[in-house]
Amino acid sequence: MTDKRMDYSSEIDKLKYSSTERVFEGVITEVNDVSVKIDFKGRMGKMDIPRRLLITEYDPKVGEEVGWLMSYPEVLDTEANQKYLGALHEYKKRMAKIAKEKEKGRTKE
Amino acid sequence: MSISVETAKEHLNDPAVLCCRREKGKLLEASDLEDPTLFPDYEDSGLLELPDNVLKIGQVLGATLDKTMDALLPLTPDVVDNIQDPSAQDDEEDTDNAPATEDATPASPDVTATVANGNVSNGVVHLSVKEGKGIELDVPLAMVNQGAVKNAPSAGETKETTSQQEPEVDEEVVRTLTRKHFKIDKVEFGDETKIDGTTLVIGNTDELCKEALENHEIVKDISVSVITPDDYHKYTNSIMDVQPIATKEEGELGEGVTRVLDGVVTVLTGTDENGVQVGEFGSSEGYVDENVMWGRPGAIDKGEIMLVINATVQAGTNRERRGPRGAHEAADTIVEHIREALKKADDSLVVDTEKIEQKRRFGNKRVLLVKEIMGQGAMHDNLILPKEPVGTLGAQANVDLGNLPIMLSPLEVLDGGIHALTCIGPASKETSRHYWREPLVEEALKDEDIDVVGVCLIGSPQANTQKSYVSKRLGMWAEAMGLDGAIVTTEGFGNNHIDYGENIEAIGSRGVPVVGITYSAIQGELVTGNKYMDAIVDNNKSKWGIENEVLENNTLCQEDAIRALAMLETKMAGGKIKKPERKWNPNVKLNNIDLIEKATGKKIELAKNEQSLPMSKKRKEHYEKDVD
Repeated sequence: MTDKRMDYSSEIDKLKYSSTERVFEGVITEVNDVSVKIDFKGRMGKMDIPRRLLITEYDPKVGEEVGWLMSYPEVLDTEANQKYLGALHEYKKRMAKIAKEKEKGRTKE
Repeated sequence: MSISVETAKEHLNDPAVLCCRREKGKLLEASDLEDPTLFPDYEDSGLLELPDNVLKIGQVLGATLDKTMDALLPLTPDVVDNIQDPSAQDDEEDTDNAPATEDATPASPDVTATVANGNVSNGVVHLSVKEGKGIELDVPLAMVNQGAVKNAPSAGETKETTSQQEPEVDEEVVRTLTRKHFKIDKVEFGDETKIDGTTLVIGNTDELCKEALENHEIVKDISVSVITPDDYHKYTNSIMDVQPIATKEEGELGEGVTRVLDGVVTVLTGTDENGVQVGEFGSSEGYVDENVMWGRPGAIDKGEIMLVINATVQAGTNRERRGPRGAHEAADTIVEHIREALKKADDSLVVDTEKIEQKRRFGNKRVLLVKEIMGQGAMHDNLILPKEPVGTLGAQANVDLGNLPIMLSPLEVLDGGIHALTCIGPASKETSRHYWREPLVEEALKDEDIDVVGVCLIGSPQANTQKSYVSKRLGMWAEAMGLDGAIVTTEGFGNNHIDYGENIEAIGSRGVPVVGITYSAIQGELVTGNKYMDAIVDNNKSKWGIENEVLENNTLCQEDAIRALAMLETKMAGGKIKKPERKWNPNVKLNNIDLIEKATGKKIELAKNEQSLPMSKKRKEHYEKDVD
């Protein structure tokens, strides 16, 4: 089975600044069925995370404060990933198309 | 932190390190020693360095410290007087399983079976018991083969097991499900929905779609299209579900006769009116051949025709419970017409008749399968027990049932008793089709050494307070059922890992051995733990242990089910599961597969991962040409 053994390196080894994780705090600004939107304190950004990534004692409410550890995001590769780039372009193209059609529909009325 | 006497007993073979400063002459006891489970952390941060000659806890209890020493220093022979013999300290550490002969004392599960090495003569296997002072057992081969096949280790490489008393098993078929397979190799559009030989004709699509929309206001548009195997390089929106097309011919769901189409599956996709994909975040939209992990239990099989039903829901409702729910129900209206046609199809078209039996094996160890399903924020719903296989009518959402444990028979699960709306990350979501061929349920039903009592579905609520409420009910079920073992699995990862741990604890704390199955690796590292979570199988298949958008990539497959059952049977027999490594190491799984294959003599097919999919690096040209 030796051919199946991987000479693996963990994703964490890709990070050069992994120990920059520090406490961040934020405030919940929106709760919907899918996700929770959080504004970082200190105007340092915002995030929209699925509900299953939030730890809470009771159902989350707008205005509640949250805290978490986060390291500084590091760019992993000098080359953009073509697969995701392609998917993103495709997505934008479709959205633009749908918006155009909606606009056409509206002007007709 | 010093340890208790019990903890010391559990760790007699672990290194002995002083927890605190102690004076020369101190008679060493448990309260002088540091907790061995903390050593990896101390070593990582450079606070502790264990030399090769460090003594074991079993050797220092009752010995005398020969030198005043500070905290967190390892105890070595040069500083300890009157080093003890560790075997003298060892009581019964593990649950005992009295070996086959009556002369043996009930102690010591530390038996090394030599069957795997072929030490067989005169039709008996010779076992030598390490503890209990020189007891030798001669066990009839037939009995030990039963036990040895299942002694395959686990999270690590332990080879310890006990030979088991062969139980008197009373086998009873409690229900049967017959599946009649109809082969489809073409899907066409025509005037009337029918099964014409091996062609599925979808009749009057406009009418079908209109009807679907009429009854579901939230769905603004719906369309039906076909993707054939020769043209998988087609774009689809986010895949919300993969469903077999099946209907009841006779009886209720979970028994009787079910008809199913082979060669075609329904694939539900969708966006909202603004083109935003339905899905939590990042989803599996894109080219089918790049984003689907073919052949997974919950995915499309290569060679199958995809009947794509695309729903467009009201703007913004893709983030609300009612959006995806509406899409699923509207699509089901269309599929219902196919079910009607399948009911009418001639019996002569049946290509294969499969009989699935649910057997109770009274006398064997009673095992419960627990599937923890998402129940948070209501976009994650599973509809339980519809009238028709993988239907929506008549089903109840687990969230509406308070996420409380619901008992199903294994056949109810396999007969389309779960319609999955679960919109979690595509790599670890379990689609409707996954339940139709749930590997753990299938493997457990085949396993002649256990008595599967049922499949319990338990939801995972958002709030911790609700999680506790629900896990405690599971614990009470386990207690009332008098279980001998349980396997707890969950789909996805995130805060559901919190109650995943609690569910294992609820059952484990009742003295029932539990094995867990989940996606973990790098991204899904467990957030909490407890002492009952000592045997876990990782669903991860992706090369780097990261969740990706490849549909069904990291879901439970046959190889995971086999490892989990082997682990559980090892635990139930009193065998030991080796501790996991500090960080995810994919070789642990490969070692386990090796061991199981050696013990059973059966090859285990390993599932492929996303590395086997085409990765088009030239898409930039393909897209950027006509942007703007």
